[in-house]
Amino acid sequence: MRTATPRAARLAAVIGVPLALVASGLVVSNASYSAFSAQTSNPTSNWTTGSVKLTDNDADVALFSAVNLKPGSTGTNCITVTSTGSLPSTVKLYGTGAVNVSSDLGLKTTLKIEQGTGTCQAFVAAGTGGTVYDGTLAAFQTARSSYANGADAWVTTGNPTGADATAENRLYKFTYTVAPDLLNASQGLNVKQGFTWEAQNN
Amino acid sequence: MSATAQHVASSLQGSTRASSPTLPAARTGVEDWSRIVVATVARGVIVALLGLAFWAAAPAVLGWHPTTVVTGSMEPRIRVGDVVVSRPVPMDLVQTGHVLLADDPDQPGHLRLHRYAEALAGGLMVTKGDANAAVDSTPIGASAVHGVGFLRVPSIGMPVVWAREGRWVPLAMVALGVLVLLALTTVDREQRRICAQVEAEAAAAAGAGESRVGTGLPALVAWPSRRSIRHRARRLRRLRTASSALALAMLVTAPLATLPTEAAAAPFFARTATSASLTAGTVTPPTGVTCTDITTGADSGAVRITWTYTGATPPNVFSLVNASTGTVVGTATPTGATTQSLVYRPSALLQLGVQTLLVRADYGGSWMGPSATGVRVNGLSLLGGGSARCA
Repeated sequence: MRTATPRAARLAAVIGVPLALVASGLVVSNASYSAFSAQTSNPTSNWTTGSVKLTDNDADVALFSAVNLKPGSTGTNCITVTSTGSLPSTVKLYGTGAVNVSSDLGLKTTLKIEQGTGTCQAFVAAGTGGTVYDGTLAAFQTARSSYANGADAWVTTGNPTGADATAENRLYKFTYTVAPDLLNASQGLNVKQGFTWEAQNN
Repeated sequence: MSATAQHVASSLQGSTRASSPTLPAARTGVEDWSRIVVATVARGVIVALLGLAFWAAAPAVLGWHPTTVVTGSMEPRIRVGDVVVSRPVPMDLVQTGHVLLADDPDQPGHLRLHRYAEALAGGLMVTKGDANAAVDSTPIGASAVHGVGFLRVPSIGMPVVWAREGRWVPLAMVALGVLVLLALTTVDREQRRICAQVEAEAAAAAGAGESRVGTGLPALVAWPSRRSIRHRARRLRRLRTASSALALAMLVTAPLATLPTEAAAAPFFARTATSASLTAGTVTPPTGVTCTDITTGADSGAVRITWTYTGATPPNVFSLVNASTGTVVGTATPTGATTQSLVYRPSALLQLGVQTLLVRADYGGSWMGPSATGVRVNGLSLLGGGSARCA
């Protein structure tokens, strides 16, 4: 091989630097084009290395569908919320789709939501934050309307390896009590309240 | 070789090299070329990294917002570790499909980098992460938007992500790699020095030769040439020092300039929901209240009050009520049957005469449904023992 000429050495040094600069510019412009030129969102979620997953065991049946309530009526039901996402996340509970909750029935019904473990019959409330909500049904939707002001920060640990984590469960116990002074005029009233648990990765 | 050339050579090489101006005999072409290639590639990589860091950090001068993406909710188009530079854009130019950098409505103090999916009434905007299955739960207002994604610098923010997650091992490895690259940029120093040396030698030789040929006064003519060569060498040295210092400064400041940019938490989320429906019952008065005399058996002498209840809401109790006084004179627990009855025998200390009795459904609180019509009962009671007859 020919000995490297001094000129070639210098040329390499002089050309290499601008070439690298141009290359970095190309990389940025290509990356920007691919990221921002597409105007639609990609429906698949298979790309993700981490995930947040949340399910419940209500089998798409309402937690309560209580009828014929009268002054003093009370009822309890439980739902288990399960997180299997790989990312650590914060789960909050908020109201969605409230119907007629500011009626007398909503005002006179107290709702207590507790979180813990065990079963609905042998419920063990969590040591801290055991009571998620305790107030009137009417006030729930107002106070807890979105993730931002949602009740109950249950923090899931996820799974650092990126695979789906082993299920982390939380039992939620809902108890409603209709006040004895429910007005006669409230006969036949119906109130509805949706409850949404949302997990967002930390 | 003239004394001039020797002087120039040693001044260029400093004290590290022997003063021989000739090329070392052992140096082969292969080694020269590999050194040049390695150093050039190393320089190229360093400069390319600096270039990326420049694109990631410099737009901040224009008031644009470089942010480091820390979650993959916009994958595959925007990945973890990318730096996305968002440009402030008038709101009337923002369209669905744009990637918006906005204050996270759900997590105060965080930023969200998601695609604008849908416009709502009142100027609210629904956003969605490309990798998320559903749109974000809370729409954002126009005032929350910082800008529209404009530049994406791939992976340059990885050190920021690592530092944020406390993953010091990859961070240290990258730092080590940069140091190695920096060291590799100097492996062709010899070759470039020889280059300078040879040129100097040639220039000096030419100068000396010309002077000899031209005037025969070598010392006089060669002297300015030597000075110019020394100048040139000094200039080269200064240039090299300055550029190294600049590169080093950029290397140090580029990550620093990138670090303070807010980490755009583009959140993943998942939801599950349930619902509750509560319906109040209705008060239904009993109907068809009848009275029957009982003439045989243990209850002989009493009356049986029978009624019909067809309401959907079972009352807590049925009460037999004196229509004029409101006194409850008997109760029956609802059995669920449509027709129910109870046995009434007056038990007051002293009771005489005819009274009207109603059957009332009691549900608790003020919820009561008395029957519209009652039955007339002629009662006789003395010291607790009594009898009744339907009147």
